[in-house]
Amino acid sequence: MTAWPGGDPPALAAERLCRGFRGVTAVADVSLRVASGARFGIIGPNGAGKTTLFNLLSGELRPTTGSVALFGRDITRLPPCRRVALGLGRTFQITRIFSDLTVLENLTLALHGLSRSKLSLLRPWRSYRAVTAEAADLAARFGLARRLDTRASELSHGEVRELEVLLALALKPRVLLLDEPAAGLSPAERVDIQALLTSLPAELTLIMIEHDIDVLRGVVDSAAVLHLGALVAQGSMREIQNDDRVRELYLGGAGTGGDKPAVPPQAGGQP
Amino acid sequence: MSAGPAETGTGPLPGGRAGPAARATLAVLRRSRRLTGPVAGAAAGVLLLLLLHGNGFTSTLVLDMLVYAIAAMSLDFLGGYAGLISLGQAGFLGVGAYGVAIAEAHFFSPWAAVAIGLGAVLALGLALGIVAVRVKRISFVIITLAMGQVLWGLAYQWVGLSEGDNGIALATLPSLGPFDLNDPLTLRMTVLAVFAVVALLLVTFVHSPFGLSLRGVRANETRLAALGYRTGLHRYLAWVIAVFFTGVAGVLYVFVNQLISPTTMAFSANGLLVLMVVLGGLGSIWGPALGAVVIVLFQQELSIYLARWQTVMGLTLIAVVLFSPGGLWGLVRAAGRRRDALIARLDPHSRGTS
Repeated sequence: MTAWPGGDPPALAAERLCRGFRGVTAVADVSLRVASGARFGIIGPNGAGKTTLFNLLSGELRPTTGSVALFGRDITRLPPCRRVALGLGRTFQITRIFSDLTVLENLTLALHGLSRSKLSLLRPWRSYRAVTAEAADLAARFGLARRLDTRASELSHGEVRELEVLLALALKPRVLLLDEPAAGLSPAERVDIQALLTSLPAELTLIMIEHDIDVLRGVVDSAAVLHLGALVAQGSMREIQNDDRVRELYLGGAGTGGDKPAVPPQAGGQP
Repeated sequence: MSAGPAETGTGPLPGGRAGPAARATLAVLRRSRRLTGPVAGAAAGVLLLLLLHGNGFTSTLVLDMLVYAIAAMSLDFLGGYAGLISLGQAGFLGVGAYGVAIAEAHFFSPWAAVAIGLGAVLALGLALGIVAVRVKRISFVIITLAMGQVLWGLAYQWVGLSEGDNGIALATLPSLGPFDLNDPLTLRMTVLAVFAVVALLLVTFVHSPFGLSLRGVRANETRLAALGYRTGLHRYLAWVIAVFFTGVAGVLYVFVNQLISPTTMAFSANGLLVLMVVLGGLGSIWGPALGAVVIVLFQQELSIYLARWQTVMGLTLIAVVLFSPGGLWGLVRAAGRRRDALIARLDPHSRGTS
């Protein structure tokens, strides 16, 4: 255990994380500290390394160098399933649900995830009344209550994004990593998902990737800006929005008259 | 597990608009919902009758169907649920069978030989599983194919142990007091009982949280890991269960045929097992049992009348894959769904209850 001078350890801390892919550096020397209960955004154009950073935090990838700590405990070497058990949940940018399974089966799988019952062989999963009731409750939180017996492959895109978040919430994480939860949603669906995110319990630490700053507004209180794998700025949302370098690099280089040498062509983000 | 919903509710018949013809159709359709039990009972009855009163040829045919049904259902547990199609399963059937035959040839008592056969296949499953779960999809198919071929090669060439091409005959079957497997009737009932137990266990497994996790492995393993599952462990357990039950089928195989030779483990035997699963319906447990019945029937009955029985089998398989991707069991399920849809259309009151 690392000692944290001045009180509680941060919910999630990354120390000098680096990760390269065959010589290309995707994440370079990123250090982050997210306090418990914070609402934290990670902003950056496409290809900035946001998802790679998430994969390092959640354990899908191992860092080349650097470390990750969850509530002061070093989890750098733990596989994803162990991190989940310690309270670190995540969603995926490219939706990963169980499309052959119904909504109820999806949620049931998630609810069994942290209990020993997931290895139970002899009792039908439908007979776990408490679990199926909890799954129905979860679905109701998002208006999926009438879709419990629908196969996930038949859901609309918005419902799929909602199910994605519900799967992560089912594990009652203490820290939740959300990888662009609003990607590809209609404006109405965005409002739905923002409403759900703001309704989450205050003690839950939320870390959210987004390349559209508008979605983050009102949901997160502080953020970090990633560009070409490195942290460019970190602070409150107001500070981020007023940061000159951030404006120049990320918000389209307002006032630079078309001269944007540091920004790759696709960096504008989706409209 | 059942073909249609077990729901037997009899809501009020629609008055007014529906004519007498529609009402009669509806009544027939409703009644057919209650047929799942009787149909399964009738199938079991026919099976029992054939085993009790059939001549030696018929009962051997039925016993072979049951033995291969056990192997096909085990393969379906692995392939249809966890998405791991093994092309080496006949090899493990052979290990169970050879285990019993070799042990008995080395003067072990018949019961000890059974324990040795089952122990061998379990140990092999536990050991090879460490390799098998490291790969997925096509690599898994290739690795299991290689395992099956190695086992077949051993049976074929390790003449000192396996007697090579000739195979090993099994002289005596186990007996315990009045329970004597050398008695044909006892053997028939025992095979039927083992089939029933394995089928029941596998159906129970696939409806358990573990069975659900296997479907999760197939649908999206990364996501399952992100939900706290050690997915490798789940694939390993599914493998060991499937290999062990296939070994059980092997023990019964050598009991029924009283001979085990390398042909039983040849590449074509692996292919036939996969055919049974695909023909019957991947991911349905009962479907592959049906597939085993059909294919054993083709192999042993049709081949008497028709030299080109394999052509017929091939065409049948193509037709099933083209018109019912869910296999024969998929046809049964689709019929049940169509009936329920028809009931819902004819009777607005039944909406929401089924």
